[in-house]
Amino acid sequence: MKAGEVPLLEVSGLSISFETDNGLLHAVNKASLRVESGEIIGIIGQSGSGKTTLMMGLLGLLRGKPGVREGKAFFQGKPLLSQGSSLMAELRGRDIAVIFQEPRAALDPFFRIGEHMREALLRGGSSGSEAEIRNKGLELLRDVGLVDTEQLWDVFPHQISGGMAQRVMIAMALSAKPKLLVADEPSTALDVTTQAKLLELFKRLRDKHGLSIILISHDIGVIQETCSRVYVMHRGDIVEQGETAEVLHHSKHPYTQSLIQAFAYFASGERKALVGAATPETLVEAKGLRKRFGLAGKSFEALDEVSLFLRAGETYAVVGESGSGKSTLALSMMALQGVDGGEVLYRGENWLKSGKSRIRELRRAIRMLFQHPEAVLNAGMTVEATLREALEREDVRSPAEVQERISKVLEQVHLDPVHAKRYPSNLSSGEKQRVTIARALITRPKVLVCDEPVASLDLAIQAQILELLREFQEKMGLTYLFISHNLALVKLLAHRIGVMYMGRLIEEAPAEDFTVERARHPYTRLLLASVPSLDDEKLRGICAEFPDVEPVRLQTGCPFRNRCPLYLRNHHAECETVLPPLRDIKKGKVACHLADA
Amino acid sequence: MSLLVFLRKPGGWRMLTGGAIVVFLVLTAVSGNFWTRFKSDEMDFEHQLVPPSSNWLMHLTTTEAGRKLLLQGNGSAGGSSVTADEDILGALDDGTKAQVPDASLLTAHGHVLGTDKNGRDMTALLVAGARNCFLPGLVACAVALGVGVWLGLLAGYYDGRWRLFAQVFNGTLLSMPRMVLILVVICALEPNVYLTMAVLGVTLIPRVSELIATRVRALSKMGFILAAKEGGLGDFRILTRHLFWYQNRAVFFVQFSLIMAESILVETTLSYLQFGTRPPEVSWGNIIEGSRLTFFSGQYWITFFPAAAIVLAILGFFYLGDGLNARLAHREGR
Repeated sequence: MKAGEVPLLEVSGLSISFETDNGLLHAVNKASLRVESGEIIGIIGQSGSGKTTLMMGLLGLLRGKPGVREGKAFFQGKPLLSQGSSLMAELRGRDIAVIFQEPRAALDPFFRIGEHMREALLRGGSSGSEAEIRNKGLELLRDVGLVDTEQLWDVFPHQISGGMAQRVMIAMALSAKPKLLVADEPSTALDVTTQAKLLELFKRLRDKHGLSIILISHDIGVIQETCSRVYVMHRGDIVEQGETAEVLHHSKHPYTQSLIQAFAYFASGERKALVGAATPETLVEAKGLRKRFGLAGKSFEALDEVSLFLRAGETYAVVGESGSGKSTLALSMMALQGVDGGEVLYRGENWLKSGKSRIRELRRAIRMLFQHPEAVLNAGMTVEATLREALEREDVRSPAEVQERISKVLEQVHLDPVHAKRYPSNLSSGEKQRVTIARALITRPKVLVCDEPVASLDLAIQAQILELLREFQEKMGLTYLFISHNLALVKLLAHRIGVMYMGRLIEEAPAEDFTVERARHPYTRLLLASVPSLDDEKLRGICAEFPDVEPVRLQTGCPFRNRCPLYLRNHHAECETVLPPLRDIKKGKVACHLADA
Repeated sequence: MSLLVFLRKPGGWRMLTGGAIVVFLVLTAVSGNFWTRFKSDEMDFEHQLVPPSSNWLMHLTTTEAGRKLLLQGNGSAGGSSVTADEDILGALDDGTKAQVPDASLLTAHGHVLGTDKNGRDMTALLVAGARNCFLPGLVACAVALGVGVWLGLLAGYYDGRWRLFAQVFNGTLLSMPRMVLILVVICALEPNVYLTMAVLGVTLIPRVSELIATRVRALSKMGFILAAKEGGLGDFRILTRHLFWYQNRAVFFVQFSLIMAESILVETTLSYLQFGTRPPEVSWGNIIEGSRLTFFSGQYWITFFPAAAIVLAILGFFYLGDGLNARLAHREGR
């Protein structure tokens, strides 16, 4: 900053509190921050740390009862908080733009994309004929990296993907040529490959338009990749601030250190999987699983001939983007959803075809962990009631024995016995996930199917939960089918990894072969390169090889070919006509015509 | 302190007021036999159409002996305010009926709220009427909730056939006007208040089942139902425990209160029209009906007290239900 220049946004001593049933809740406590023109700053912290409240309070967008707001804020030297609501609204639409976490929830489903753009442009002060507005809108859409904008103009929000919707949101935000963009967890709901593209876009917008961006995120990787300066929030306080590299490498506050430690747990690439734990015995085997979903006359294969096997005591991970069919695979393997073909064998017995009582019997041996712990616990049941219910089909009758099993399992998942009497609403999300793990473990299972068990948790808690799962594998020889969108995470835990794309398993290999260099399928390489990490120059180069297009379900040939640099280089005829089979290669399997064995 | 917190939350005052009224009325109905001085079928032909006594506190004492005790207490205290009433009662005890002055006769009969044209005690009638209101109301609730909740659970949980069945069943019932349906059943079968209330309950099934089904349909898609299945729970347990008891019991209590209020209204209406409780059985409705001819000749109390009781009971149940509903909405973040 040059001497005497006024910063774009300056906040000093901002406090926000809410009135609740239990008195005042201090959500933000004397926060001060500063944003210069043309810089991206990050606000990082766990969920509930007040980072969203800080920005929403600043912009006057807080919902519900107006809380207590104190402090000063200046936008280009003009006082912000003292202005009337109409002045604030004017600033908000024009000079300050906001984009939210769930892009599709922020778009009105009854308006076409074009109508959204038109409204945003008119709101932003653009004028001119209908055609001029349209041209401006199309240019903005192209500006944020969207293709086929003419078609996009007449489409409804539900017809586009989350990544596209987020770009439309950004285009709308840019329509008034704002000086500051507030992005609240913009990439959290998106796939890794889409996230990588979005972060690129942010940097391009900064360089091209001189836009300042406040990026709110819980993900250190995202912050590290894009932000020049970072503020760390913890329980409403800004505990540390400074240059990103300085804060992340020489953090002084213990909270920042714990965050970085948790991040390092994943970023180090140090394998956490048990070595030599797996036995040759095949415990669970899926053979040719098929599942069709019909959607408004059109139907597609959510699962297309998926076969895999789990050895006793091993962790098999399935990765893929949203819509790849990995959750369908989990539900099908749990017999919680009918399949259109194929079988799931547990110790050689096809349990999809077993009788009702036998299935219930087997459900004690094969348990499942779900993604959202708050959704899978009945809000009206205490932890104890939940665990007691899980014991109903066990042969424990005496109350003393039930009590003993419950307290033992609580101890195993490191939960205090006082939690037994609590309702889910009084537990943190990490504690809730521990309860669901306890509910699964109490029946002494052999196999645990984990469907994104940590995706909705904070990083530090993710590490704790994964450590817990690892501990159980060590002590009880549990077998895991681990489903995740996060390749970096499964690389640490799994023995073998399968990659899914559009309902098909396209690559399977031992975890140590999952590197950008050794992966065989181009899609796997794209996934690996998209993970935000430290030395990303090389990875960014790999990402750049891939065209920036949306995944579509191609009817014939290789489903990935529209995104595949190998195909796009010489348009191999086989890729267009023949669906590549999953063939054996040296240390795994791959479904690609062009990958060398 | 905790009462204060309770009242501050939405619906707190309504729940407290409604609850207090309901508890008071139910206790009255249940315990009435033990403390009313007269039986509801007891006719005091010497005191027909007497107005409510102003000296009501005196007459609340239950027995003759107790009344004496009170009098002696007053007498020994030597209070200066010795009323004519006490003199009379004292005189009565002495068996010197002849000395009783005419003016005091009105207050000496013990009919606190007066009597009707047959000399029946209003207090006893009201208490008996309360019983004849609540019991039929419970029948209506049992039918409406017993069938409605199950139909709602099944229609919400299993889409397909159960949903179709519920649609046809509810649609058929909703297409018939309620009062007409009830009157037709009364005409076709023998008039019986419990049967009538059962029919009322049937007409309320659509409302209950639609309400429950809508909620269950949304809940069925939630993770905890999937998790319960994953845990090996059967459909019966999922329906009764997860979907009903832990998620919908508050709705059940809200509907219970509202249906009680409605059934009291319907019962008194029918009894007034002489289709419901028939004399000599007593209902608030037929007390009012019996006062038709006397109301305009100045005997207001025969109409007023049962009408007040009806209003109070309906208000009480509605307040309770409404408060519960507001609290439920608050808890679910609506």
